[in-house]
Amino acid sequence: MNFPYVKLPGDTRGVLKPYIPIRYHYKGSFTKEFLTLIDSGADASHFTTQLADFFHIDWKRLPELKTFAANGEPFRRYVLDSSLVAEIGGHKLNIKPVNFSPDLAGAFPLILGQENFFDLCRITFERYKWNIDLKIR
Amino acid sequence: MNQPINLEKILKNHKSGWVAVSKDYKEVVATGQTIKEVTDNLEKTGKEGVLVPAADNYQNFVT
Repeated sequence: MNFPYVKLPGDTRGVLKPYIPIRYHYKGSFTKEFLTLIDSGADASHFTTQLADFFHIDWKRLPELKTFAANGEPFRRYVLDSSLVAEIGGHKLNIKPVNFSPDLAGAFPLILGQENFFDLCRITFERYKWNIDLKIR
Repeated sequence: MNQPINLEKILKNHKSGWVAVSKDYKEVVATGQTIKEVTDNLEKTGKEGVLVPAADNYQNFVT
């Protein structure tokens, strides 16, 4: 599957990011499609606690751990020990563990990272032609 | 070469919360401060849409 990069407001020329449309499922309910950041530098997937609220998951009762940003600063995450399903182009992938955080920046409320995402598919960032090539394993 | 999806203009006036854009990515069809609110507002329109985070800054991040 091929997905184009997304151009967002930035300084004079805008900024291009690898966001792809993904629908999330949890226990029989599902979301609209979201543009989700594909982040090879993230150890694991992180989602805004708004997504937990949407699925009626009581995230404040989940175990709290810390994630560290690139500058070493910690932020909160709450770990759900069951799968969230990410539907990409009709393919369904089980993402686990699921980290919910109330501290994600507004531009990146949904991040798919290495653990249990990059090992489920082959992802090639072809930025030179504004394309993300994703193949489910 | 692909053409990127260009949301630069249609997101320019949306600085927080969520925006639902049409499936062809050409227009904003609903907004909301939370996922639930934008979903409800999108469903009221009867249109299909893709949800996009709205932010005052998308640039110069290391994630």
